Amino acid sequence: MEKIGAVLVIGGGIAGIQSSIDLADSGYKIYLAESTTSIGGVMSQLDKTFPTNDCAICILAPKLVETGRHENIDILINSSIEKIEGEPGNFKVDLIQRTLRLDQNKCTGCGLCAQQCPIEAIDFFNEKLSNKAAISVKFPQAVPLVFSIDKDKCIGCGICKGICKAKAIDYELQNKEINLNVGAVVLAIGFDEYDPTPLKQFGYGKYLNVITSIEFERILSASGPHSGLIIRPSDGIIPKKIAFLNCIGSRDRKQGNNYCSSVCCMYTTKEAVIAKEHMNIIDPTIFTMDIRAYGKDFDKYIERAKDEYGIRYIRRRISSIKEIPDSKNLKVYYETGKGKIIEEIFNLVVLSVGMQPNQKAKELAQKLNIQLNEYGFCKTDTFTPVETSRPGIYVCGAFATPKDIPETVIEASAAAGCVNVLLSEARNKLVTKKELPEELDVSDQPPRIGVFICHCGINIGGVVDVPNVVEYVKTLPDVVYAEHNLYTCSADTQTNIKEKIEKNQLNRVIVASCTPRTHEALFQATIREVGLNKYLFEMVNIRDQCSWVHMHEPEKATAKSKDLLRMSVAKASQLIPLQEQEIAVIDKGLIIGGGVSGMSAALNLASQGYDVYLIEKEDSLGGIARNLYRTLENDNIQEYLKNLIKNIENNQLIQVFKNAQINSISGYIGNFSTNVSYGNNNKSADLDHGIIVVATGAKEYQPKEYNFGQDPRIITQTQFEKDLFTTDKVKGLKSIVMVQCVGSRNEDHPYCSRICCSEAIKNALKAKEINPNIEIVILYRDIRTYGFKEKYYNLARDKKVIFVRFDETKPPELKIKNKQVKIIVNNPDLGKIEINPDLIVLSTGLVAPIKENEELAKMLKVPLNEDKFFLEAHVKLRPIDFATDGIYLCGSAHSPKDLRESIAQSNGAAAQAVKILSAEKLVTSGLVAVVIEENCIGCGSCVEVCQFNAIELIEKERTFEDFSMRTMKSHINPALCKGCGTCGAQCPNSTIIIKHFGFEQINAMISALLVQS
Amino acid sequence: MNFIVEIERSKKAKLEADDFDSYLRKIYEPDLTNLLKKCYQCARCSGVCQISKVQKFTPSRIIQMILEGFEDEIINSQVLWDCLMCNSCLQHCPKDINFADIVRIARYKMRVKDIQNPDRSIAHKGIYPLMSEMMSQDNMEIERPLDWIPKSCTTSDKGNILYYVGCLPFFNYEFEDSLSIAESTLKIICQLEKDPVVVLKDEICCGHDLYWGQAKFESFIELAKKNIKRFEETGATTIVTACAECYRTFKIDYPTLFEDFKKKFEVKHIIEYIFDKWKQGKVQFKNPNKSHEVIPFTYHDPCRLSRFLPKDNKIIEEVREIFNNLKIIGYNFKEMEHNKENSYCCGVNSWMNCNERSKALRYKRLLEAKAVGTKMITSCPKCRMHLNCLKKDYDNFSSIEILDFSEFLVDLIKIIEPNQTIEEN
Repeated sequence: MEKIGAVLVIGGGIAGIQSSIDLADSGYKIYLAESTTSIGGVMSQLDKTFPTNDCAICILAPKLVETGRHENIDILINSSIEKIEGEPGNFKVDLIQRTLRLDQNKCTGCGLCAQQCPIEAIDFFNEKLSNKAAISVKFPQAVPLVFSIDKDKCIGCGICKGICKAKAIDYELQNKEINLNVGAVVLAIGFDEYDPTPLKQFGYGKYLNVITSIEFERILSASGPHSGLIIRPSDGIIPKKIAFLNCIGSRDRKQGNNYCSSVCCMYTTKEAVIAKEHMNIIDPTIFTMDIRAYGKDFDKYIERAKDEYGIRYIRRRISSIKEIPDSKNLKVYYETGKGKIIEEIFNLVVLSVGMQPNQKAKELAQKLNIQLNEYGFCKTDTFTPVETSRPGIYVCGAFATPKDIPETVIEASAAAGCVNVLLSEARNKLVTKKELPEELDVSDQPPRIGVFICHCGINIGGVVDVPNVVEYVKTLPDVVYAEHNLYTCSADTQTNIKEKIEKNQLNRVIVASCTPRTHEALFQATIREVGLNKYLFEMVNIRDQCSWVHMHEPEKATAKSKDLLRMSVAKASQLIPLQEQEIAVIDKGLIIGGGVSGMSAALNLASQGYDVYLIEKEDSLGGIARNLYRTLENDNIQEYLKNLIKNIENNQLIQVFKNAQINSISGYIGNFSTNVSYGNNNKSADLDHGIIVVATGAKEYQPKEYNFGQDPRIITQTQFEKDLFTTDKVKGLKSIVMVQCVGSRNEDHPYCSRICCSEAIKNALKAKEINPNIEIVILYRDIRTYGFKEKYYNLARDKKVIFVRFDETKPPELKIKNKQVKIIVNNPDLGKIEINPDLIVLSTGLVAPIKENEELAKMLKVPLNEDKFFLEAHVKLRPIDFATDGIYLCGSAHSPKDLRESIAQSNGAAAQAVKILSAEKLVTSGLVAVVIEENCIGCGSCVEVCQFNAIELIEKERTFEDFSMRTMKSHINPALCKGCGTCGAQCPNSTIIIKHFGFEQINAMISALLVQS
Repeated sequence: MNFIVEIERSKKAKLEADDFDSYLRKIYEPDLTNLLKKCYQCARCSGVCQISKVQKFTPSRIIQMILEGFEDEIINSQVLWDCLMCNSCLQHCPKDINFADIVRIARYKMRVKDIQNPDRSIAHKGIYPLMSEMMSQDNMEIERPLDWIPKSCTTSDKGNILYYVGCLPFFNYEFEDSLSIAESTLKIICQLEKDPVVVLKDEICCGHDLYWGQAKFESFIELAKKNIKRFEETGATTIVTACAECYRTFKIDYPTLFEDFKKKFEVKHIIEYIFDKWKQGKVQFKNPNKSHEVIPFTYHDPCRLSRFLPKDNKIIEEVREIFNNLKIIGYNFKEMEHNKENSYCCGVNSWMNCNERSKALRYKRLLEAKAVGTKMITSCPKCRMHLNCLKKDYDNFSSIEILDFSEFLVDLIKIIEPNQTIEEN
């Protein structure tokens, strides 16, 4: 059956958005089905994100906009799946799109209807903490920005219908059936927050001042119910003492869910930190069992929360809450370290609720015929982390396991990577390319400016006197035509604009309407369709900057609109056509590192037909996985590895360089050139390639602690694992002590290695299996078996593995007396305990190969973090990319991670890489920085500030009358330049010009402003 | 219409009410031909012009065109923004035509033209001239940090002798170690003075760069007025500075505007100050290092202390007399090929036109320095900064240490009659 070059992505949260963008950028038609009225998911509700405290909507909104205006993405809001049939590569899917009671294509999102609607409805986006109109948009940054009518609340009064200038409202509109033909399906339906109502002991729903963490998140948000003011529900007073109760509905076999929700420890800390930042008088306390800060730079965040913000952590779970009737304060009881039970009173209690399967998961699984796991999440396997049980249907994000945003983004890209493999032959079949007329040469014409001013219904026109502004604009120099439109963005206005350009021979166009962020590309495309260079366009935001901020001062709003337009006209007359360059792409990939990550990425690319160079520094492939036998879930790693290596070595498109060393890397996205020496004879090769994937991994920490290496009874987990799986030594042992966090979470390595807890538990379980009578004691600081790994922690406890916690400041001590090893551990609750084991197993973490990473980072010009792991472009939303285009990151080179996560990230890296490799050519932006070379003194300050590595210094010879000299000159690569302007601001000689934001243009604008005012 | 010109117009309007024209007349001659009539057209100026070695620029042609009535063409061509104002031409002019002064006046004319704006070719984004302009404003409250003052120095806001620091504390943000010039200079003065030395907390710019570089005469006049008022309030009679530009400005340009400035204040460059103390027997030179290694060093004459002073100025020789005397303590002074009045330019004047051509001039200068010494002393903070900037780019110049006069001497000076109230460092 023919493969279809289209993909259905179900779920418009960050996972669905990322998958959609990745696939749409790689030449597929995407249908993004979202059950609510806007994409954005739970992330859009969050106030900030850990560990950087970035504003969530601020970093998400650009992605929403990108999705909304991507020509290959159709967003199907308010829709759900009915039926699917077919096979991988060719599915037929039926969806139902529930009616919004207005025409989505006509609604411009102006919002007038909501202002006039007399009926209040509950604002679910604000977690029911506030109300909104019965006709509303989900949240202000919603994409698509269309309103919808809450049919339960609407009384059908007709006010909105009467007032809507776009005539979008139609109460009679019915649900619509949509039939799609797609090659693959990606499930990204996310999760539901655990509802703590059944847990009567916490009084949620009964005590007003007990709220959930997602409610608290909305309270923290500046766009939330109290505009960011932290006040408690009962009386609107600022709660000075806030208790956060972790693991609500998680890690609880009896009530709630057995697994760990993976994110609560971190988001609770974030909420506590942000609360403290909002109001310093707030004193947050977090009640928790383990602090599971297992992600990249998470432990540092916890340390900051403790040290800088004074957040108090108490390692206790609270069993019940009592409300004090008069004050509505809340009393909790807990045991202190010394075994004393005390009570403490809090003004507000936040229940850190976990994740549970989406309520629609079961129904969807039935319709799609996919299996769920024992917890009701989508079933996946370790080695195929984004594949469901049904071929051709992929999963990503929290629907597979509870996880945080970066891992969700990684999996979303991974799902795209797997779809790529399935559908690569159908790439570019369903995306259409516009045929454009040749560009007109207007460079020697005097400016003829046309201005189109938008009423936006009455969104602008209701405040700004638009006709008056039009008349004013007509008097400005170089303006030959001006008009006003009800909606400048509507399809018929685009036709109108094109006619007016031709009729009046316009060579510069200005639109005064809303924000260029959402609409500039549309208008640029419009003027390009009649042959005008798209950079001969200027946009003025008279909605946000005039009618919105001055909504009660119409005269001032009108005056300001005139000012802004006068400035814009002054700038427009200075605009020149800018050319975009086309750069050819070498469709070959270079992958650095031949471990599981590197090999997975290589196979992904090769199976789409791309040549791959795989660089391995050692003499065999496999990396750190060669020392591993089974996963925690008992998957056979050695067998998997054997197959993987076989597939790599049998693949004609993959060229493996073993014993290889990279000598130099030059070039840029699409056109890299790398020199490697390889093999026993140190042969040399120059490789040309379009992308680079960094998969160099990490290495096991070699401990200096605990007499390691001097006594055969003291070994690492890796050695122990080898003994367990290849010998029967363990049969002869009576007792084992495992020490966690050896060389992790200390001053030298202030991060958690993430995998060691699971490794220890895996080996403990295996040892118990071989020798059930063996006594195993695990000495730990926090057991970080996140997600479904919690099951094995429980199992270990069930199998009588003993866990003893120690404090960071008092690590276990080793004593060897009369040839007997003795370990003394200081438990915070119990005091000193002495153990005499036969074997001590050290759980050593993963560390970055510092020297190798530093050398490679220098060659790639990419950054490392403090711990010398590679630093991605953005820790939350760009976990696979570097700021430098064309270079990607996967596996433990990014931060320690397990096999499942490494495989996901390498498929994600392949998905990012394919965006470039599958493009015939790359088109640079016209809005880039350029250097006027003769004024450049080669100081290099531009190079230092460019975060995209677009600038380098090139040595040039300069000859003058009586002598010559060599001097450095700045050179900006347009393929890498993002036109951000940082270099221009930095250049001491003002010799870097940012196209369209040059001195003349900005000066013209300022002059125009000052002259009249 | 240019908004900068707009702002200046309003500023000028304000000054006009305040007999601006009477001041302007002293520093501005509207008819350039008047200043040029005596020109022989021998074209010696073009032969020695330093910028002409790296770009097309011929003073004689420019003068000829102005004399032949094409002044407007010259003004409109904006070519005069390129002049280094190093005054090399004046040294060789048989008729003493002060070309730099003509450029200064022409720049004012160019600036008043709406379309001409040099601001974008001011290096470092024009921040330093902008700061000078801001300081000329009436409503500006200036408060400078004085935490750089060495602990051993006692300063005051009243007293007989004033140390005028200049831009150094501002430079220090962008050009490291600039303040060490101020520290060294103040240390030297304080060791020699019985009474506290005046260092103004609200010191403002002398206006040199606005006068020569950007031709903002309005602001210059304002700065001069404000400075004189401040100086008077301190009761000081002597002003010492370590800056060649401040020195020239106080020595020549302030008295042009205000005849009695000379009577009120004696202006000394730190070179003169030390020279005088040395001659009075209050200072000796001593090498604190016991090493017997002889250090060859050279001196870069800043234009403001050589070509921009009257012929009878002694600084050029005084500094050499001091330097030659250092031979006995192990410092061997050697001249560069181009020295004294023929000294090469550092390549930039008043922040104007830093580019590859001015870089080439600096390169040539450092080649000369490298040929004769391992230390290059100068007495202009900007020369030091510009030459150091170039040095950083070339490994082959790493052997040269570029120092200010005060930095160089601060450790070599021995006070014969030490001030008892000041502790030894």
